[in-house]
Amino acid sequence: MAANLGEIVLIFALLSSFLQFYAPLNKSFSGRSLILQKFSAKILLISLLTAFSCLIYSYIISDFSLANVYRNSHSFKPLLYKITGSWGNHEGSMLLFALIICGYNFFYSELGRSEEKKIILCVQGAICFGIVSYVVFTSNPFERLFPVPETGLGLNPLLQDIGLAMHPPMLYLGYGGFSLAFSFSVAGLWVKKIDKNWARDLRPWVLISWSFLTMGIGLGSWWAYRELGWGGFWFWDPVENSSLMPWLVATSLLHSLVVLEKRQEFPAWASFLAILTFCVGLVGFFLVRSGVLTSVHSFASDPYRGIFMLILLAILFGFALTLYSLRASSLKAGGNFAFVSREGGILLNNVLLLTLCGTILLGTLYPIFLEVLVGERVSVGKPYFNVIFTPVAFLLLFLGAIGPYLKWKKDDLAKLSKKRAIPLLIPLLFFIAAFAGIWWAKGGFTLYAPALGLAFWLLTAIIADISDRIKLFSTSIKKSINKLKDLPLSYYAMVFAHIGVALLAISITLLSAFEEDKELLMKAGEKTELAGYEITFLESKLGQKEDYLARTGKFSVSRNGKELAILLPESRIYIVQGSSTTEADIYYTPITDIYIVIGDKAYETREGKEGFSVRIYVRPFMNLVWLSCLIIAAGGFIALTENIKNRGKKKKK
Amino acid sequence: MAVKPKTQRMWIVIITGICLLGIAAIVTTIFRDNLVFFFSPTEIKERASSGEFPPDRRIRIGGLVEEGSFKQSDESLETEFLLTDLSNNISVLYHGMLPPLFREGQGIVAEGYYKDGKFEAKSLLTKHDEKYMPPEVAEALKKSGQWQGEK
Repeated sequence: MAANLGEIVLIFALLSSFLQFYAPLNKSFSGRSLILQKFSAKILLISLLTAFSCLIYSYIISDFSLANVYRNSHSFKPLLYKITGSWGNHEGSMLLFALIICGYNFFYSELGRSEEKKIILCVQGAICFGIVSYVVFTSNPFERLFPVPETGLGLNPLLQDIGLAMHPPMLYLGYGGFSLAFSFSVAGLWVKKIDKNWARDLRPWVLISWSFLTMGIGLGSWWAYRELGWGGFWFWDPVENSSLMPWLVATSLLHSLVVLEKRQEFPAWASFLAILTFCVGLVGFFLVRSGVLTSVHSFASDPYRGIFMLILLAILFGFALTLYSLRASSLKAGGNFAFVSREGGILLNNVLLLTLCGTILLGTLYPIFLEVLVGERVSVGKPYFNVIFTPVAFLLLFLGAIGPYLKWKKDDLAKLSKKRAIPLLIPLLFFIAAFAGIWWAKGGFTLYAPALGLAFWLLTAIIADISDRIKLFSTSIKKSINKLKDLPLSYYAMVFAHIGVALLAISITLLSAFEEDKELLMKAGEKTELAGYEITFLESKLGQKEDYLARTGKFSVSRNGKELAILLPESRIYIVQGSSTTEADIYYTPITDIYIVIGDKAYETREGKEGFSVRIYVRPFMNLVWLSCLIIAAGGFIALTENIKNRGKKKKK
Repeated sequence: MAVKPKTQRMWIVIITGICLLGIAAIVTTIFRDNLVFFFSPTEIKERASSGEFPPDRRIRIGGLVEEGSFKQSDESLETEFLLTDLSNNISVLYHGMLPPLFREGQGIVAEGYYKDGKFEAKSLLTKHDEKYMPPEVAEALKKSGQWQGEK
């Protein structure tokens, strides 16, 4: 029943998105087209909400007459994963993506402002139509099976995790919102008006999507860290790259929107970035979902899906770029600016971020192209990404401490450096200390010290600027605190995001400098030591749990003879899927994670022999990595609240 | 003093150009060194004598773990097995935890270095699904003519 309803409402969604696109194009609707568009946006959202609820309902009642439920669920599965499993597969996740894009579409139609609202909604209608038809024609989640199977195949056990249950919605909340950047850009180019107001109206939508995308990426790597059992959080996997690339472009878009709003500068550039953000997001989506890449993420591979997605991408990107090339030259830019100015700084930031994005794109796509063109199979090694990323990240950290504190239009570096001479000494001293310390610890030169020095350089620049603004020490503490309260929220947003970046750099550096790994064969009762922790393998047990068989190892972690924790890592065999995973157990301290993985004897044909393979990782400063992601995202949300606040003020007037 | 738009544009172009050139230089030198090529045991056997696989060049090989070839030390995580594409095989040495579902007869991909007629694997990749055959392995098997894929 629910499935029938779901299929019917999808048709409604298709029709209403078409109406939203078509309304302003037909002259006979003129005058009423906006009302019509708002109405279709509402119907569109309601239909997709209904369709998605129907899918979740089918999962909950385990309706195996649906091919999708049969392939990805099982009646023994815990309820939570039955629900989240509905988007843990290709069709369901596409439906969720369509729902989120249409959600943004609806909220924009109700709350959004712009002089070109009709055109924006028209473009949005076209995007929604494209995505919904993708769902209906290539990835219908309501496809039937006959005869109805008695039981399902179950969900990939790696996906049965709360981190991964939340990861796609977050990521899609990011990607989805960028569709508005695209529509704004097309509409602005169409009427040749990309100005202050355009930037002001678009910024909140980019901010909210960017913040969600930041959290989505963070959640994804948090899942990879806990679930994959490799002790790492970022592998330069093509799938990870395709979420990082849109983030980099969106970050530069956010920066250039500020310039456009404040200075009327960079209109063409900003509109280009707005188009690019959405398209890079879609390319990432295409890579992940088309099955071009093989990983846990590419649920299914069906060439038609890839081709459909490519055509959609070609139409959207082709149209927008053609429009851009026709109109970009007629956009009016504001005044001039010197190279040493805030505008110059932001431009440099954009160039660096896009360079990063470009090199990552090369590393991600090259293997695919080579295989298609020459038929040779290659993969791009991790060192490539690290070698490219490090110098650009260094430059970004270095400039991030200067750019935001330059004046608009024109500034003098000498003046700024005189004003900040004393605060600048702190990171320098720190750098020397770190350099000496790490040289001693590692027995030679490493890049860790400059990385730490630069991160602290960024941090002190932020602190120095705050204390400048609140006149710390040059006036009474009370006045300073009052001044602190009066600083604009947009300033706080910048401070949060940049502090987050500095902390991220610090934590990743310390993590890579001081992490330790050990892999060994352990028999019950044996002891080993790593990074000052003593780890004892107490015993192992075999038992059946919810929907899997588990070999559980019992380990005690102690330091200086004092027991800190008992860890129970598992190696699981999922009976229904016939697949197996290792489930790490982690002892979290505020600073260090101690992470143990156990292998299973059964795979190692070790008949009559004792012992298991055990991996132990000590991961210092891991929590700081997650925290910094949250702080960066918080920066975005703070900027958003300011935007909403300002809007409220204007309405009152 | 007002800045002339021309000077300003020139600066931007120069700085951007330097950045791009620097990156391009880094990319071209590093990119080639970091490409990891994939070979089948047959290709290794055919080309090894020509010195095509220097011991410091990271490569990937793929195939099936030959039945009955798996050996493991009692005291450490040293393992040795034969990787086959059903025409030729190569001996693989590996130290470490085996990935889930590593079994004889299973298709795997190993990444590491070719040294003195043996392959020293730094990492082993299998999929977490016993029905799964890595695409590289499937292709290597098809090339060797011993396996035509599932119907």
